[in-house]
Order: sequence, then C-alpha cells, then structure tokens
Amino acid sequence: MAFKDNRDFMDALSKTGDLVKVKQEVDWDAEAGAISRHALELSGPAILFEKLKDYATGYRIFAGPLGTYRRVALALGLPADTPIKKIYEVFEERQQKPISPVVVKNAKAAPCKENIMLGEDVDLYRFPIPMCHDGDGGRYIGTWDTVVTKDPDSDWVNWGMYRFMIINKKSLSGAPAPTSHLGLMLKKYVEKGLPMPVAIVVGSDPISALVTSTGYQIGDTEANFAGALRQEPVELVKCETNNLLVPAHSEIVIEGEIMPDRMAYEGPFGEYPGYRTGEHGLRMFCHVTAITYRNSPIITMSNLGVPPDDSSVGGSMGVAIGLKNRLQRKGLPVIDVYLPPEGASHLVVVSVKKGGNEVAKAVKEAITRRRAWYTKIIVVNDDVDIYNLGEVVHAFSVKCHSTRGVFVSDEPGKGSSATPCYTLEEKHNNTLGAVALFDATWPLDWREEDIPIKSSFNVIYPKNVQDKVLKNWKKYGF
Amino acid sequence: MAKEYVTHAQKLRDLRDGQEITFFVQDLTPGPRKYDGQIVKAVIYSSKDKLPDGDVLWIRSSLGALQPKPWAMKIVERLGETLPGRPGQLL
Repeated sequence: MAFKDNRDFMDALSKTGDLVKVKQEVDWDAEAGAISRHALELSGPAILFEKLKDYATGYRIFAGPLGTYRRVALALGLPADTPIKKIYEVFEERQQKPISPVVVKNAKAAPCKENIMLGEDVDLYRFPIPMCHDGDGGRYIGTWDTVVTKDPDSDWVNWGMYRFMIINKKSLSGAPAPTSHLGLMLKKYVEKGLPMPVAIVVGSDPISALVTSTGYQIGDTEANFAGALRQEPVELVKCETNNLLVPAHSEIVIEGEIMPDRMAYEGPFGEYPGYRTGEHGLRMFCHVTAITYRNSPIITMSNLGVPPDDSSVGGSMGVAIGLKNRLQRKGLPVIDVYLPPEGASHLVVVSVKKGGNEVAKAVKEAITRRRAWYTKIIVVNDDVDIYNLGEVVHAFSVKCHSTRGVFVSDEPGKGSSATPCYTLEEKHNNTLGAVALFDATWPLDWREEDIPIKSSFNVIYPKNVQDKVLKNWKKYGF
Repeated sequence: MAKEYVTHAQKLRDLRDGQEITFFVQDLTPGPRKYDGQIVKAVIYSSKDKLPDGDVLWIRSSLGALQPKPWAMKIVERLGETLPGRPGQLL
C-alpha cells in the first residue's frame, strides 16, 4: 500500500531506524542545513526537525527524504536492504503500467487545504524556510519540490523539480534552465506576453517527489508514472487561484504567476554537482497569489552538495531508467544504465550486449540528444556489474584504450550551468557543454579466440571447480 | 539605529568608495523575516568610518564567499523586488 503522504513515509522510516527526530531547537539559518549535510555525507538517516528557532511549534522541516537507497527502497514499499539492482528493476517494471491520477471530489477536505492564505494574507515567512548553505543567495523553499506548470498550446502538464528562493513575503525567484521543460514552456508564455501559472508543491508523498526528479519526455504526465510506482493513483486537487492540479496530501502548495516581463535576483545555491556554481544574477520572478497548507506543516529540504544526497541517489535512479528506455527504443543493444551517486549525476555507466566504437558512439548520441548534462559516459560489456563501482573502474581502467577508446566532443548550449568545470565565459555565451565517451568494450572485429579471458573466480575456472570450492568453503577454514 | 544588510556582488573588484549602485540587498535583522530582500539604489563606502551614519553592508562574492570586512551604505532609493526584463536566460 502506497504512502499517501510524507507523514506516513516518516512513520515507516522511524520503524527501520532511517529517521532521526531532532527535538531540540535548531536554527533554520544554516544550522539545520549543516546538520542535514553532515548526515547525508555520513549516509545517515533522514531528519525531522521538530522545533525551529523563531517559529511556533508544529512548523517543521523534513530533510534528506531519499538520500540513501534504503529510503528509496522503503518509499517503493520494499525492504530497506533491497539491493540497488533490484530497486531499479522494480522501478522499471512498475512504470510500464501508468495509473492516471484522480481528482478528489471534495476539494475543501483535501489535507493541503486545511489552511488557506489569499491576497494580502499571503506570507511565505509563516514557514521556517531554511538558509540551506551559508552564503547561498537566500532562503530556499524549493529544494525537493514538485513544480506544476502547463503548456499554453496543449494539454501537457509537467511536474519538474526547480529551486525557488524567497525575495519577500509574496515573491520568489527561480533559475530553470532554458532547456528544461519549465524553461521551454516559459519561453512560450514570454513570447505571448502572458504570466505563467505555477504551483510549487512542497512535501508531496515520497514517490511523487521521486518521479518529479526523474527526466521524462516532453508531453509525458508525471502524475501517471507516480501512480504506476505507487501502484495506486495520486489524488489531486485544484489550486485556489489557477486551474492547476496538485497532490491533495501535500504539506504546502504555493500558487503563483511567473511574470513575462519582470526579473528578480536569485542565487547562488549549493547545487547537485556538489559545488556552488551558479552566480547571483537576474532570473525569473514569481508573484505568489495563494498558499495552502496542512496543519503543522512540514517543509521538505534536500540539502544538495557532495554526494550522496537525494539528487544523486533518488533523483538519478529515474533518470538512469529513462535513459535506458530511450536507448532501447532506438534499437541499441543496451542491457542496463546506472548513474552512480559518486558521479553526482554527471557520470553514466551503460552496459551493452555487443560493444565496439560505433555502438558506444550511438549510445552517446542518444544520451546527449537534448542535453549534455551527463559529461562522462562509460560503456561496458554486460559481464560488468554496473552497480558495483569497483567492477566499473576495473573495466574502465584496463579495457578502455586511451586513444582509440576515448571520444570527446563539444556540445555547445547543452551543458548545465551548475557543472563546475565550465568557465564564466562559456556560461555567459551559452557555449557550455562537453562530453567524454569512454568505450570500455571489446571491439566488434575481434575474433572470439582473441578476446582476453577475465581472470576472475566465476570465469577462469570450470563450473565443477567453482561448485566444489563454494561447497567446501567453510571446510577449508574460511 | 543602523541596520545590517548583505549583498552578493557580481563584480567585487569594481566596487569603489562613494559609488552609487543599484543592487539587491537582504536585511539581516534577526527573526523570522531575516534575509528579506529588495533592490535599492545606494551609496557605498569600504568602511563604517567613511560613512558613520550609514548601514552596515556585508558583501559576498557572486558565488557566496564572505568578504572579511563589512562596507557601509546609505540607501538613496528603494526600487522594489523586480527589474524589467524577459526571463529565459540563466545569467
């Protein structure tokens, strides 16, 4: 049975030791962020901060919701110690069966409507919105959110994860990439001279947030995939000041309009690659028209930084499966795709049934078709367990020819401005983007008898010897 | 009583004593509204001694590194929260 909200999810985390409840008062200004960051770097539990300085009891922060594979497994209803490969398999299998959301009949009874602020009553400072990292451009309400927007020319509704910074009690600024789904939609509204309605959902159920962080195709409805992974439909409710639908069990919903002709200052922010890269500058401006929220609301905070964290663990999983589906749809002999958390969503490992330069290059072309945010791609044969970083490093080190197996390309305009290796000039001129492909597969034109034999226990010894060794392992004295 | 503000300077090395600039500042008054922001036109000086009746202005680089010594500023005009422009570019 799916978690209907984050509160149910936190109850489950408590039972398995994957949640710590901090009862002592904590400062929302950097302290809560520092505690969360330290816990993430230790692969520690998620955190519920129950008392924040300056704020009434009941206004809380939930940090690091999907920062470990244990928590991702639990969010999917699996045992906490489920192997990574199995978690991926379950994710991939379930999302083959999308389940459409349902709109709740009695909107007023939706938990996210327990409290409503409209017009002059709107006040973002009602909530203990954190300064996640010392020196960020401001306090960020959107770090693990679901931002709902609708294309002006079609029925396409997108869920995406975008950071939002508080300017004042009624105003936010944000920094979506122009190539993002929100960025593409916003461009249309700007060209039409129209404000873009938006709903920033803070604290939906864990699966809706997981799906939001995944890169689905233009035109896809994330709510259907959330239903698929939950194996139950997501319940939605209409916003108060626009026609967008949002998860009914969300903690906080911020409704607003992104203005086509106004800009506001935003950034910098410690981002998912593990560095604070994006400079302070003029970005999009959002005027808040309403805020609805649950009693004793809980802000969700993903304190992005060096991996592992919610982005590099939970967020990268759906991305990897999406890439795998894309590659297989193109007819490429792809077995599996993995984004190791250590690569902070910049490293993609792809295993293939048959390798060689041409296959590797085709993999790279398909992956970087729209964006080149994954700057390093390693292609390996299917005898490599791509979820085992040691095996990947081994294959990369010894099988990737340092001249014939390495291909680099500039991908101008396709890179992420959050990637720290790009210069300011590349960012300002929008020429940022580059990919290095490492072909760590056996060339297709090698005869079978020329392919080196892996000197590993399960390859270089006949089966009867392996079986005998395993059967007698304890008898040998191990 | 003097207030304290913080700003992120896009061109740190171009700041000069007596310069009047338009920039985004955030109020550091402790409490739930700390970091409330606005765009202002202000005159800035590199130390409080040079502007005794001014407010304290902490300066961070565009990437957030805090400069060790605060500047001082006197707000000439408050300009609200936005400037004209078309969103769509990151910088």
